[in-house]
Amino acid sequence: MKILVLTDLEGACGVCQFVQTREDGPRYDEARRLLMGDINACVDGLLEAGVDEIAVLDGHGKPYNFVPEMMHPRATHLVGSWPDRNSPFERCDAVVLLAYHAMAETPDGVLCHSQSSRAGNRYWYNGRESGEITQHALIAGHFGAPVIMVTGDQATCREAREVLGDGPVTVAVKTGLGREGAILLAPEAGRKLIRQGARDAVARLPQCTPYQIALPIKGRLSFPSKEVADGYRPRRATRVDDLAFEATFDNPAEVIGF
Amino acid sequence: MKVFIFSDLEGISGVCRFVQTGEDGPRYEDARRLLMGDINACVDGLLDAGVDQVVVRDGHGKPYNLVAEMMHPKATHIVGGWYGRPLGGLEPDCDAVILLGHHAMAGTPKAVLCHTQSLRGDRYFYNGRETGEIGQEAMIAGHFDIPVIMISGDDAACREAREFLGDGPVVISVKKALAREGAELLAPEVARQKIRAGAAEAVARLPQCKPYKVESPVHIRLEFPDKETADNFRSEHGARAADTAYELTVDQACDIFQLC
Repeated sequence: MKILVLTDLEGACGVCQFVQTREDGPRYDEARRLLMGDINACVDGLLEAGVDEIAVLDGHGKPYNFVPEMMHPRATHLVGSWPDRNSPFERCDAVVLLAYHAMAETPDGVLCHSQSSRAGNRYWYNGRESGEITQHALIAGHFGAPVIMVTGDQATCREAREVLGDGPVTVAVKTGLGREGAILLAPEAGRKLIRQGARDAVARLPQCTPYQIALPIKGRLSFPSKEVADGYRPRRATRVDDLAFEATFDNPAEVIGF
Repeated sequence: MKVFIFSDLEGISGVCRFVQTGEDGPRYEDARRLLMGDINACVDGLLDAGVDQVVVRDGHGKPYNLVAEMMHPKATHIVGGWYGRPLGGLEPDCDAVILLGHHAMAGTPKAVLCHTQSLRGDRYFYNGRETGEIGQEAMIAGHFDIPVIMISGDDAACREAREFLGDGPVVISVKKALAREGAELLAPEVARQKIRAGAAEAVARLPQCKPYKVESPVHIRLEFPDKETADNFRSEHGARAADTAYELTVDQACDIFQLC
């Protein structure tokens, strides 16, 4: 069995400030190391459940966040960008969304946003507002791979259940008080839950279905101000008002590309 | 039993300079790691005494001082703004509060890094009695009928705790002040042993610790070191009472930070 672990950074154990998640932030290096702890706990859990091939995809910001020296020896890792962005999905049986966050404007969502934490993007597909959990589940779903586990804060886990149902395991490692405030588990304790969760997630695979929504997908992207919208250069979307763009997607794997 | 540890930085083992306690200070990263040593010793002591739930609240400056990676696995921790919660997350189901790494009030002679809220020399009076952060935090906890069972810091912080909270709580002095930035310090390893033993003893002392209460309504006076600072102070609630002072009366002790 081959599992693809998609990683973000905002939902990692011990992370709850933008100075940790932005590359030029003074706490960024702390956060990179915290992320490695979550990744390695997840890999350990997957291995214990008998998974024989694990690839970990760096999905945060400019995707060069991993600390190679700390990487689990039994997993490969994918960093950087390449033309066929979705190729890692082609040969996997299931995906894990590790260290994710809730969509933009979630009141108790630690570091919540959708794609851009600065610009304030918001996305809708077929009329339903969606964050990165939905976007990545749609891509994986297109390749026939279900999401079997999601980790992050309580709001992330709630969003995952709303979108994906009760199939996947959800592991909450913190509870948001505000966008940069939280009640957190100690990383050592959070990682135990992640390891156990990954083990359980493999057994739950039969209950998890690839995520799909009706085609073609009607997509909408909006910005908080006209000024920000004016600065956006769409690839295929049409401007529909001061704040928003719309596009139709025949391929669910392309839903991020407006 | 659930215990809430409210941590500050000035009274932590090994800390005695402002370059350690200011976020942009060159020794700040040293101090964050010293803080974790005291916190984990305190958590261990509470667990030794059978406490089953420990919450650590980061209470210093912009409250993002904890080093998550070093956090004791048996405690949760709260960081970030207070979001309108008493002491930033003190729930009414807490049985006791520990003030860890605290310091004496502004103007205390021979007290390590002493101040009250601001380093510029602000002074706070409640119903006429000058009060520092130990008293302020104890008042808020006291409003919810939760007693302080232990404080740690320098000898001046311990003395102040005795004056305000009486003989109930355990006090742990980890350094003897010689000046505001000078002290005779225990080695952190030794200090942490005292903190661990103190925390375990504090749990046993809970029945002797009374919630700290002040008479309501609470009359608040905030005095600034000079007129210019007072001129630049903006308060949503308080009223100017003198060239250098603001005043406000609140109905409940949990609202004292409306003038701050």
